[in-house]
Amino acid sequence: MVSQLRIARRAGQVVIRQRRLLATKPPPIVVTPVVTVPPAAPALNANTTIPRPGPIPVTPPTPPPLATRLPPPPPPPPPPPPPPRRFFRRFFILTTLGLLTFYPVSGWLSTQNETYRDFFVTNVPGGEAVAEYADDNGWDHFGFGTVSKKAVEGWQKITGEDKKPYSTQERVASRAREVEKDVRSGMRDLESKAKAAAKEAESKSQSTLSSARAKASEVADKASELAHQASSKASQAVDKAKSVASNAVDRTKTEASKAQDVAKHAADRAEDKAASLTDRAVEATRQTADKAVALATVAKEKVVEATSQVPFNFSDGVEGMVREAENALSRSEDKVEDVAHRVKEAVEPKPRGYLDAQRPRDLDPRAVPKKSPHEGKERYTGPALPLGFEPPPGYYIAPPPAPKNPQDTVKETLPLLVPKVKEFAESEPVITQLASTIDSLTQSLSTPTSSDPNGILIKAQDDLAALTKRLDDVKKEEKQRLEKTLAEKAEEFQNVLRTKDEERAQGEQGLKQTWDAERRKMVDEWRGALESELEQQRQGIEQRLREEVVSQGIELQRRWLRSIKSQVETERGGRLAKLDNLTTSLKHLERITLDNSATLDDNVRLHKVWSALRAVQAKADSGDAAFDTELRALKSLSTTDSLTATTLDALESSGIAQTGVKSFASLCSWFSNSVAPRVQSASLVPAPEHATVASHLASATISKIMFRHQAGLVAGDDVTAVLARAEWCLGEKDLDGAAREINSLKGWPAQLAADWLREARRRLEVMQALEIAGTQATLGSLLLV
Amino acid sequence: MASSSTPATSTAPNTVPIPSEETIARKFDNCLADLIVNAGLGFGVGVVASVLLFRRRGWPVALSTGFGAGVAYSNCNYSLNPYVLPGTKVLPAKQ
Repeated sequence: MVSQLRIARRAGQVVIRQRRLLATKPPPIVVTPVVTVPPAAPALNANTTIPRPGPIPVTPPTPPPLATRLPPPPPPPPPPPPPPRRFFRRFFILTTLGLLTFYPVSGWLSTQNETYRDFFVTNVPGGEAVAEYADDNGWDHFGFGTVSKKAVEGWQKITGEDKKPYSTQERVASRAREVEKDVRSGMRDLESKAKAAAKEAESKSQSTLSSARAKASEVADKASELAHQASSKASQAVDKAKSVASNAVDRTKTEASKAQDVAKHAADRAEDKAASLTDRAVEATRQTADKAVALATVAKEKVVEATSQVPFNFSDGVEGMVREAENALSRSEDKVEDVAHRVKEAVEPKPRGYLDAQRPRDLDPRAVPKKSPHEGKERYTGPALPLGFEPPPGYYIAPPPAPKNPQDTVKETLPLLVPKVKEFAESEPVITQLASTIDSLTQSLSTPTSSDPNGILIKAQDDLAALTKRLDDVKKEEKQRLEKTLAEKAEEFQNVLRTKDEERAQGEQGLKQTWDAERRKMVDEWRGALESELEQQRQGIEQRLREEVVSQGIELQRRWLRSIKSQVETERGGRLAKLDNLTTSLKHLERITLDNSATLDDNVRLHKVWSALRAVQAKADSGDAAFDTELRALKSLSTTDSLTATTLDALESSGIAQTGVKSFASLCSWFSNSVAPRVQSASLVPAPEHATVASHLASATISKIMFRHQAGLVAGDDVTAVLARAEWCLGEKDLDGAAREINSLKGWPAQLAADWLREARRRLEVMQALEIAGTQATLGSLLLV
Repeated sequence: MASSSTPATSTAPNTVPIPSEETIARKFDNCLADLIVNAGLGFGVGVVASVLLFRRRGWPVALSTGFGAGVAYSNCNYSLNPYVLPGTKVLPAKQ
């Protein structure tokens, strides 16, 4: 449409000039705005009739016909500066937009930067709210992909696909976030609540204070008013009350009498009721007690039946249980009886006579010492008072002394001697006599009414004298007996001594004889032993002599043989010896030749190995040629050497021999021409999981601008340095070093250089295997020498 | 010299393997082709839409071409890094 308009406008502006012959120029058309101004009023004349035109048709300015259109007039002057209204509008719009951008961006920034957050919160109005909102909603995780993620989530929600997070980690994270949010909101709530509560409390306290004061003043006024009122009323009331009181008294008296009668009736009725209730209760308890007892007896009978029915030999546990049951039953019976008794006692009215009104006292009357009843009084010592008379005040009659019990005196009897002496009494009657006298003495002592003690003492003295006499007699007897026995013993011992002497003399003779016999025996024995030894030695010597003779004979024979040989040899011109020489030298020669052939074989083999190795190396170095035949040949030659055999086996199994390896030169050129530039252009690409098209393009362009190291040993970890070092290694023909350097690359450069690295590795592997084979061959050749 | 042309021993078709240093270049080539194709398609769709629906205005064409270019860019991005999915973020493996 725009283009159409443009076309139309341009068409409108085009002046299609028609060719006219000898035509004058058309007059210029001045497009003047048609002004609807009534024509000027002509001069007023009396005669002139002012033609009053009708309403002038106001025609809109029609565009003049196409033919006579001239270029448009110059544009109108620029419009006046925009009115202040526009300025305000623009100002408002800009400020709102600016704020709308500023606050969210600042919110996000405050999550990232603490200093900005402080600044924002302190200086900007509403900053705290925005920062908190940002923190709550986790704006610090806002990054690339957040919006799309949110969009995806939203879409999922709409379509109803939003499932719970897949992994436990996510679940835990979301849960943790929720908890965090709750905690934070809770804390904030608590804080706000605390503040609000504090404020409320303050305001409340103030308001209560003021209200309390107001109320207090009100109350005081009211109280004073009431007091006045009350006093007036009180006086009135007193008069009234007096009149009323008198009436009331009479009335209450009558009523009281009536109430008393009523109460009496009620009390009687209550008593009757109570009595009936108690009778009923008593009956009931009696019945229950009887029932309980009956039940207990029934139970017991049952148990008895059961136990009687059960065989007598219970097992231990059952017996114990049975016994326990019986005990319990008996106890329960007792308890039931107790309870019944108590119940009866409680319910039945007790006989009043034996009411124990004495309640238990706290104090023990026995603790208090008995007060003597005659305190502060003197003993009366005057004449005896007649019956019924009391001692004068201040005196007391001593109580009569307690009658002495004759049984209380000397209850302890003195010991009697007779029974103690009974043992000796059988042999010595004197002792019993003495004992009995002593006993009588004691008896006399014990009884106060005694016979005369003197007689008893004289009796005792006599008894003692008799006793001493008796003792002397006994001593004499004993002495005589002892002397007799001594004499007898002496005789006996002398007899014994004589017999012993005779025996000793006989023993000595016997010993002498035995000694002689023994000596003779021993001498004979030794003589026999000597002779046997002599015999043996003689035989040994003879044996030796014989052997010597034999050996000498052999030697003599040998000598004779030798002499014979030598004579024969000398006769034959020593030909036998020469023959022996020949044989030995022949054998020697054989040995030498065998050794020679062995070494020759070894040399040949080694030579073969070397040539095979060289063939393999040449083939491999030529590049991209399969060298498996040569390798097999080499393997077959080096079966003896285990190391070489294993390495060559490994090489063959890896399959490199079929495809061949690249030559060093080709690798070099490949690297410098192809790999290095590509790696260089991809050197600035970030890690493959974060790389985008833009990063690749940027890397490609910027790496061309960047400086590059020349090939040399530059330090550094970046791609350029690595490539430079690799180039230098290749220049030094060090493929191993170059491969190591390239191996250190990571990410896209590593992926780009992977093929070259693989090829380099294959070549290195082959080189290493061949080197091992070469060293082993060298070792073998050295050993041969 | 750069590519090792060895015949494949398996039954796969006889193709020349791509040397590894050419991968990015090949990818970019594909991206470029994709861009041309998609942008062209978008251009065509845009022209049709502009003519039929939008009264021969210019912006549908540009928009549609832009869509095509964007699709090509997205495809290129995916080919270079298949792990960049919208709404996901690849985190480094924690050791």
